[in-house]
Amino acid sequence: MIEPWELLLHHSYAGSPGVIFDRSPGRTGHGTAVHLSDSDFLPDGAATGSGAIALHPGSAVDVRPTSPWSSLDAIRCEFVCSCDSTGGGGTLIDAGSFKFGVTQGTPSLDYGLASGGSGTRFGPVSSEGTPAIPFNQWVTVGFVYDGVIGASGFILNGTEITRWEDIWQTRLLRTSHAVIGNARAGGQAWTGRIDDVKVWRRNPHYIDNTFINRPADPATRDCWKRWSDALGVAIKEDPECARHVRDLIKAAVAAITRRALQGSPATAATWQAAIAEYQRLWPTGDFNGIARILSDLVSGIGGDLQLNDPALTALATDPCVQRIFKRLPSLDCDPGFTGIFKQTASLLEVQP
Amino acid sequence: MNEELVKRFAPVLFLHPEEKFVPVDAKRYIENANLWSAKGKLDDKNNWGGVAPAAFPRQPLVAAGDLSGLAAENGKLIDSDPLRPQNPDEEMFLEMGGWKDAALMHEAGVTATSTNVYADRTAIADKYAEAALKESRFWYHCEMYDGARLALMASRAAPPDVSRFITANSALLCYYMFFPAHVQSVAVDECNDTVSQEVACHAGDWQCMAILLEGDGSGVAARYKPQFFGCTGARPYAADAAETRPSQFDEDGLTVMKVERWRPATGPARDLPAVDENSHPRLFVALGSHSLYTVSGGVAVQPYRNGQEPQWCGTFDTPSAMPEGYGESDDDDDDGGFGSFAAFFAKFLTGLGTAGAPGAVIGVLAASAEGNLGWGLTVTGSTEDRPNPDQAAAAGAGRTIRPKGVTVAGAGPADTVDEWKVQQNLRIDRRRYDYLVDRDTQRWWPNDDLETGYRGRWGQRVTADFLPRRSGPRFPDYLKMFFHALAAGDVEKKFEDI
Repeated sequence: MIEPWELLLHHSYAGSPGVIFDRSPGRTGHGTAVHLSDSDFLPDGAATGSGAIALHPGSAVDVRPTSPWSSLDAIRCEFVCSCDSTGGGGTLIDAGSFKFGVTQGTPSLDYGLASGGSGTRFGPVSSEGTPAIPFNQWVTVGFVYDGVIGASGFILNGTEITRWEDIWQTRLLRTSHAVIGNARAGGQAWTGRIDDVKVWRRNPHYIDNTFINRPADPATRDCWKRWSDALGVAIKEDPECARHVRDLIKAAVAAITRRALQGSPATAATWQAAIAEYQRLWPTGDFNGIARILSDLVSGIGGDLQLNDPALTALATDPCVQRIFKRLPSLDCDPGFTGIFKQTASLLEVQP
Repeated sequence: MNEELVKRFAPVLFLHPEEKFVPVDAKRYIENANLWSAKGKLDDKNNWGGVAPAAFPRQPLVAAGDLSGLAAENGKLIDSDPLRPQNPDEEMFLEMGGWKDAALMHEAGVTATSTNVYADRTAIADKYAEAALKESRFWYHCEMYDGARLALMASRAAPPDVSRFITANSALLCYYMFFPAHVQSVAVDECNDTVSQEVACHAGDWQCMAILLEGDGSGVAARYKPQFFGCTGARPYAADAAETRPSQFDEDGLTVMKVERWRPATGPARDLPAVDENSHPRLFVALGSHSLYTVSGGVAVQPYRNGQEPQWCGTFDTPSAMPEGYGESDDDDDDGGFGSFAAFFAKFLTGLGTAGAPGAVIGVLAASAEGNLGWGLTVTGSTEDRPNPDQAAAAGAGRTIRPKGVTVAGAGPADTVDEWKVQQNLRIDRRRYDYLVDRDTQRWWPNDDLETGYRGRWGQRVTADFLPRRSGPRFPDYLKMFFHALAAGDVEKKFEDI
């Protein structure tokens, strides 16, 4: 199954006291109890038998993932927790590159962003007008950061309570240390109980996974195997160039996506309908239908998407693109795939 | 080591009638195998037995017959300094029987023209038809961890804290079974080609049965009571979390240890494992994969770690059209790996090649549509190859291996029943063979000191195998697997026998 989100960590604090087991598929984030006694491990949380931990000043759950959390271009966290009115909140998670908690009943978020290989810290975000987290009751609270159009939002009990966009449009710093229930430096202990913690990132294989989710005969499989192997050699032998091209393409894709989703309601609706249809047709191998979708998009909202943007055109003439392009075998061995572009160009009456 | 306790729980094995491999003595395997070194990109034959510009044919570090597992014996000790990896990017592998190419033709060595893409399992089977190795069949190795050693290992281990499951009177018995080769394919009905048939086949195959016991402090074997039972193999398929049973993958994601309470009165593992003569677990061995089951029959499996399922009839080992190993980056200076790069790049370049600059824009647009980035991410379906189910034959259908003298219910005719040939201090040609594990003297086991002992692969490396999946496995950390599976069952409340 292609999952768009990859669960990086799942703690439920059930079972034997002191055993903090990561239930996520990778199981790379088992925890160590810090100043939590057995009596702080509660048999009941939001539900009978669900387990929970009671935090107090100085206590926390320390997580040193055995594989660093990297490729954090989108992230999502969810906590089932209860906040004592006397303390008013505290830190729910501090992973260095992101930190989420509640300050006097209001959610707050702090990101560490990667940009060109160096980190940039931004101040905490606590959006005005955000509804307060109710005290002394179990709630599910969390946040989402999409990393592409710069959208972030707070979620309370499954409902988006605040959303803001266009703040940053880059991925978060990789991290190999997270603290749950306190700040990494201490001093911001969660005042209450935590029943369940989940952390996701965008599945780094999601798009490639989707890409090969279509019918393929042996000749097509061989075709792509040769192409993939050649791409591997090209990346290995010219990594700087490959990174440069990757970044250009990612930036172009993100730019189009932002313009589509942040354009007029009509543009966004057209875009979303088109990609839904695209994703319906792709696994069926209906490439003629996909060509129609692409040509309709260009002729319909191409102006809004700024497809004539010089940056996009410049991609085609970038020296690195040309260098890698020349090293790869033709994909004419997959005529269905190449047909998408030929037919789209034909429908748009584009001359090569 | 409490040998009486070891014998009390020795397993009964039921093999499939078409099974070609049986558990053998690992020491005699290494004595008859070549030892190779590999360095750098480990699935590149150019890095085996020396690196370029070393001449072909490449040679093993130690030739078959000159390797020893005990310090006092002739030959080169398998974990002696010259045979240990000198750098983090170096590893050792054992090789018996050579390789075969994509057309399944035998390749004896590593030459300038050899492909070395698969291990030649037929050649391995032929070796075990010869007298010397034939006598090493029907062998297991057993290790006992007492409470003190378990506590020590738990104290050294990374989280989770599994000391909660251990007392001073605990004991863990691990029965290690080494099969000389492993067969595992995908989508055999749909694909029917060599790539899908060989997708996860390799030389060398470790399996383990483990039992956690609680004693009364007397050390008397009969007074130990089994608490939990574990056995290894492919991860069983589960439709959802409720159906999932406790298990833990090994470090390389090749097998899982499945753990249940010992013969619970209720629940999906009720009265399992079945036992002969009150204590000998009955294990059904799946054809080729050697997954161990407590019941016979076909078993749907999810043998690959999430995100590492083979795709397109094994064309891609990872769930990606990206070249293997380019999924994501752990490099601090890199702003992300090449995940998603292949799909984007293919569209962009094909558009460019088809219609020039306007075509490239169409390619980017297509990539954007496929990416569906942004707030609303969707689930679109399944791409992985369907793993072929494990087939564990019923008792008596194939060979039965039993502890000496134990009466086995449902065993087949006498000529299909073999007894374990395990013993201590067996002497052959001035070499010694034991079945009880002593990691300090038997140097083919990874030592508790986390440094010494053999830590290489138990079968040949093969080419084009980044994960790796078709190369021989390393000896798994069964202790960790057992306790992590136990912790998983504990936190998920799977042992409550509802």
